[in-house]
Amino acid sequence: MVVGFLCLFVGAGIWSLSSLGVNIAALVQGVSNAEIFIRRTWPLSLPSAEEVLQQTGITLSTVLLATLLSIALSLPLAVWASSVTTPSKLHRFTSRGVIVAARAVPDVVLAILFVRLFGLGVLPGILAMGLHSIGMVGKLYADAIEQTSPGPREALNSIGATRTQRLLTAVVPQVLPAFIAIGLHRFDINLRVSAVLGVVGVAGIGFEMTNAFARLDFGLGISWALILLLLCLLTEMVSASIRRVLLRGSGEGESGAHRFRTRLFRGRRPSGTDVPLTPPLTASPLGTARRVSPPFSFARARRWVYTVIVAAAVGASLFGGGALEARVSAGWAGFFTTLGLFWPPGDAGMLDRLLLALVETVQIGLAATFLGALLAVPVGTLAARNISGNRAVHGAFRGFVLVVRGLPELIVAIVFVVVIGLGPVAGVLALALGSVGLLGKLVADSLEEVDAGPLEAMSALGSSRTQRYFTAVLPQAAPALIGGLLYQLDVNIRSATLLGLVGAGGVGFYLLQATQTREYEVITLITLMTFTVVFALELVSMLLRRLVR
Amino acid sequence: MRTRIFIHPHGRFEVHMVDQAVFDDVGRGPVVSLTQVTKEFDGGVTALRGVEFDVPRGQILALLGRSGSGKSTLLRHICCLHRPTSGSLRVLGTDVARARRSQLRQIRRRTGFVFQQFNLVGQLSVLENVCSGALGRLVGPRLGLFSYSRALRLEALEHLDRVGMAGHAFQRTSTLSGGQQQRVAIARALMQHPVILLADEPVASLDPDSADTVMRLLREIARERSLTVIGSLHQVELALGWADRVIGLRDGEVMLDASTTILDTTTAMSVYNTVPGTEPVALDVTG
Repeated sequence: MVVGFLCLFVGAGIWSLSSLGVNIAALVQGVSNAEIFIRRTWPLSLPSAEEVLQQTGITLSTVLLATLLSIALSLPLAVWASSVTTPSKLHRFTSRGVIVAARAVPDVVLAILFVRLFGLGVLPGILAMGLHSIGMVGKLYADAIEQTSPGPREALNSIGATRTQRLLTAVVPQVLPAFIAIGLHRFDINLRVSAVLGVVGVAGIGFEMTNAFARLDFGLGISWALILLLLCLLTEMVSASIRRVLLRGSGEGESGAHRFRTRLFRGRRPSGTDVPLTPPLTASPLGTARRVSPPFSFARARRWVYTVIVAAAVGASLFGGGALEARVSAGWAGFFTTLGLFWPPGDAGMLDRLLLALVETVQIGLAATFLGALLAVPVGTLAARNISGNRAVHGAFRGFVLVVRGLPELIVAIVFVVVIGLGPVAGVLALALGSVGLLGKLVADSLEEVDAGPLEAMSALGSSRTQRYFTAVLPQAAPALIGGLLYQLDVNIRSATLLGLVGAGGVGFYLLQATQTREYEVITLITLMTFTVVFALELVSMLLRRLVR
Repeated sequence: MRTRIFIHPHGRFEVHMVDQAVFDDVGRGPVVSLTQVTKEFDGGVTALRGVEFDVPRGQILALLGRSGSGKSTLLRHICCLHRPTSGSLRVLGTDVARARRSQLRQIRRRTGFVFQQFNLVGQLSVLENVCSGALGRLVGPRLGLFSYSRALRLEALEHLDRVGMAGHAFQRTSTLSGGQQQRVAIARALMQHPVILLADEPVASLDPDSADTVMRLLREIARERSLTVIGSLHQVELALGWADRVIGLRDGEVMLDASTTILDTTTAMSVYNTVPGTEPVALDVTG
């Protein structure tokens, strides 16, 4: 079964590569183009520091507000979508439906709609990313609520607490760390998305970059791309470390602060141990001035500092970035007229070309996943702690995977388009590189989760390292690896639909063209077409996963 | 439902529900009264079959029986978390089968429940967990220690002091040991001003020393405040030394109902026998 799936996958990958014209000759051609490219862009023309700061501020505040909007909308949806908090089946079904719908409509399409409604600026970006993000944030929030332990809820029920009281006292404290971590993760993703939205007119670094390329000012465009790249890597690093601390449980941080305090006041006994281990069971007379508010602790002080920082950032983004300057360009009456432009879907007489572009999109996804997997399996293997054996090797490859994952695919695609020219080859290479990041991580993770028992048994009977890898590790990890591969394929086909926006092949080109020619009904048709493809893929992969397991 | 507003010196105020007077009168009749209570779950499993007994105020009652014999189901009925399929169940003078939802909540407010797995919110501080015991009489949701009034926090601290945990009031609850968590759970139950204290295998996941402390606490507190305690237990010896009366269950039926003054270990152990057809043992029932 697994072998059959792999044959199919390799076959589809090779077919896609050959029909898209990705071959050694094209790559050699690309390398020689790179020389011309470097001559054209060097020296880089850097934007002024003031401009960089201003655009960075706009981009960050757009992304922050969009993420907060999606969180605010996801909270009630998640509560309604979870069986833990909502007994009504109808509510749950409706809420899940809204969440799935939000994921189905691409953020670029939403941005095109909102740019048409509100004009160029920040607001369309906030709305587009905010609404689309509900698809992920809402789902993960609902899952987090679903996974809370039922004990505290039952206890509060036995106390006679109402449903709202149970939600706030028993559920919220359990899910809060996960909620914050998910929000941060979405912030990273939205920062990457903001580059694409610049192409359709959302203000920020992405917009400046698009303008520079449109003026054929490659040096400036590449500078903006590099700035956004750097920003992505920085926020990824910061949010990854915050997430790690959050999900490890704040108890750890507490004890760290505690250790620090004990070191600081060496003479005194730490506050936790001044109670005798077997306390008297009779009531002791209460002093008149008993503390009923918690004493100072580093963890609490740190929480306050974080809260103030977040509040300040939100305030600055709300009032500094012009996010509140909402104006409907065609008036509220025009709102529905504009919506009407998108319906019913139409092909504007180019259905055959759209279908060809759709096939090309799928081919890009397949080829990129195939190439990515070829690289990701060895990279992921070396990054797995239990396989690579050498700490330095494992650390270096983990770091490599992390950095590659931090690269926004669209920016990489732009760089490839500039280097090897317009067309699907640039798209395939960009997505393949992105796949090494995500798939490499998934491969490493699933290899590390392998049961160590068979490995030990194999080494006890004197096998070599390679024998162990193929006999004990790969068969155990196979279902997880194939799951990862299918997930990557899904991600790549979704991304491939957008590559055309920057000229890297596929159906996205017609998305941009339809926006410029104002044939909005084509946008709806393209959205429906790609949704059908992604949905079909989802069904196939569900079937495959069941078979492989 | 009647409510009363408390105004505190610093301008904070708090809405409390007024305890129904009827609960304080039940001292005359039995606190809990079961007549032919039968419970069938949706899957067709019959958890209780014709269970019948009364519990007078202030009695300490131990439920014995193997896992799956219906002890937990019985306790959850008394706390109104389940309703019987047939038969009559009266708790604190209210007929549970016919009670409205608000009445069920009233009963839950006055019955403290101590769970085997403590069921505290591990992420919150000990004091906040104890304060949450007051939720039944507060109006509106609460999050954070400061959402409870100073008076409530003082009261919670008093209960913590009673179970010997006042020194841990501001610690994160998940950092406590099992025995300590169970004592905090008892303090939370005290915060309910309970008339009945229910305990579902309260010491099954504790080491012998902590188990001893917890059982002693439950007994002492019950005597101090003339509470009725119904606890399910696994260990026969422990039950005989702790309770006034023992009820043994097997497959949802009462097999044994006796005062501990006249019950010996061998008879009590018969509840655990697998031999079918053993006659139910009926000894003197303390009233």
